[in-house]
Amino acid sequence: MKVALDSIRACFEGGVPSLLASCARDGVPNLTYVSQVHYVDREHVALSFQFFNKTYENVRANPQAMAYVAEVGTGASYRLWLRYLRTEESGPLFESMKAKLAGIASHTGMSGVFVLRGSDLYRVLDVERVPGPAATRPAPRNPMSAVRCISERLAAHSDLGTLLDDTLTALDEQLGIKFAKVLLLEAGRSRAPRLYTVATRGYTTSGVGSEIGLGEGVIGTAAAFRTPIRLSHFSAEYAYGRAVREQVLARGLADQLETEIPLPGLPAPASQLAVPIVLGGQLAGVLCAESPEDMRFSYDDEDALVAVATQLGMAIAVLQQAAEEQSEEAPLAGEPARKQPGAAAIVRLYRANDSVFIDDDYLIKGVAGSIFAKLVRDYTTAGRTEFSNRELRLDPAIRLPDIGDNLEARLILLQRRLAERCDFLRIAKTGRGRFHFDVKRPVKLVEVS
Amino acid sequence: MTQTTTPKPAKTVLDVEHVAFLSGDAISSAVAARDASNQPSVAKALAVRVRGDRGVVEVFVDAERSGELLRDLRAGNPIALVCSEPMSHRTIQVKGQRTDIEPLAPGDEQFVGAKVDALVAHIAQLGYAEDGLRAYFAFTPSALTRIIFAASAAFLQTPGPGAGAPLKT
Repeated sequence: MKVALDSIRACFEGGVPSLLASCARDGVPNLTYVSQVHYVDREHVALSFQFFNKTYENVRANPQAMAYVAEVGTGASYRLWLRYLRTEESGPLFESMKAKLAGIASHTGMSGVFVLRGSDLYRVLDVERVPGPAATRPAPRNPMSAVRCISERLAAHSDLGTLLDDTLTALDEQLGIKFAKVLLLEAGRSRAPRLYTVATRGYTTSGVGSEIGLGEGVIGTAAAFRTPIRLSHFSAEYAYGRAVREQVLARGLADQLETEIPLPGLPAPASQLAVPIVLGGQLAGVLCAESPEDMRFSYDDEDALVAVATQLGMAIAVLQQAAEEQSEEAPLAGEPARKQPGAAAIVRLYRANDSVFIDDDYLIKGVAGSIFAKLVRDYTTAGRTEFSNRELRLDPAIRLPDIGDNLEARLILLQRRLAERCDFLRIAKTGRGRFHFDVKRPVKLVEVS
Repeated sequence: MTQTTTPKPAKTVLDVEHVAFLSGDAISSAVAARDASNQPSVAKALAVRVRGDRGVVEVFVDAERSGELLRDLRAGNPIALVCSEPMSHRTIQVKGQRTDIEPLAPGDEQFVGAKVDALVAHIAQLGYAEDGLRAYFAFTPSALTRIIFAASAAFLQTPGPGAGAPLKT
């Protein structure tokens, strides 16, 4: 190619309408504007197919096509020699383009008109710069140097909690990402798989412990299809926070709302970027960034976040494994529970979904809820305050979904929820795979089946 | 001048309102053709003019920025012209079976310059930087070329389910 396709990705951000020329079998050319040209890889682009039109007919009869694209800002223009390959009507590429199109549609007043029917995949045979001037723009920060700095920081951590927080701090300092969160997967035993928030940065409330289902909004879609989802404009369709609440109400499950921690997020994010954290071919979580600015995240930002999420996934797995392998046995019996001053706080465990309430205030549910119930149970019956990750892993009452499930992350989640919601119960790490359950008021466990 | 060689269309495909739209000051346009193997070619156009009888369309391009388009048109192949108003997304496509490629007539360079100025001013209102727009619509006066064709078909192409329908006159 005369020009490398990945050097002109700014042309595919949607600032300047792209053109596509096709030709019918009888030789009549057709020219149309396209809503979206999506960079797939160094040899492929995908075009949004929204309506059954002449282009649809032409490329299926004669796969030769040509696109004319330009970079917003500089006005530099390019011709792309294309060959139509196929149309994808589901899957990662389709979902990425569908989300992006929802942002474009909303931005251009075309919501309800622009609906993606398919992603038309084309091989790019050649790219040529259209001769002529280009306006000059200051070069953006080189994302490679930012990724290098973040990568070095991630490699320095030996504790999961600080690793998660510092990842978000590093994204802010190196890439200027002010609003971000990490969600991890709870594979689920009785419940459908969920993502739970374990670390956030930039929001008024941390939202740790909030949950979202696979397929819901930008984050749930990135998780379900294991593909980056990037929106450059606000789309109500992908503004999940409110949507999730409305879905719950619509299902007549209003009573469940008291166990719904609001997902931390900007009320109307103009730009959103969610990338999956994948480990060993399995979904482990999602790293999500957002901004109140339109077109805030570029293809380079997407690459940077994918690289960071990949390293984060590996670091999480290594620290999880280290915490379990080096976990020392904790004494099974502690001191008899000291007589604490004050009335006993009632801890209620609802076994249906392992949701836990402390004096009627919702704390947490799922695996973290059953871990918490075990701590309270062992404390009240045997006076135990020292625990090991290993014994939690082996406890059948906790019912961890499988060995790959991140117990260490559940403990961080529980530790953070307690720090936010309760001033007399605390979890403190005392060594690798060991922690102390600190109780400053009498507690009584009530289990509701 | 060989304007009279351009064949007249059998039936007018553009009505007065379409001509008014195509002649507007805020119309962004582009042209496509194809070679003998049906490989399409495409170029941005700088200005469009419809002659008084509504059947003949003139399109101005910069030959240096037009790639294979002029070669394909000179070979006698058909043309597609797309004209869109950026603010409203309203879009029309006009097709012609063959074209004449002509040098500029007196006043054409000024006509093209004024059209590009008006279009840049229109799009700048949407929040685009003017220097980038100037680069996008750049032309060299000595490279300006006039493409003339008889409109043989015209289609509505405003984004939406009705896109592709023949224009009603």
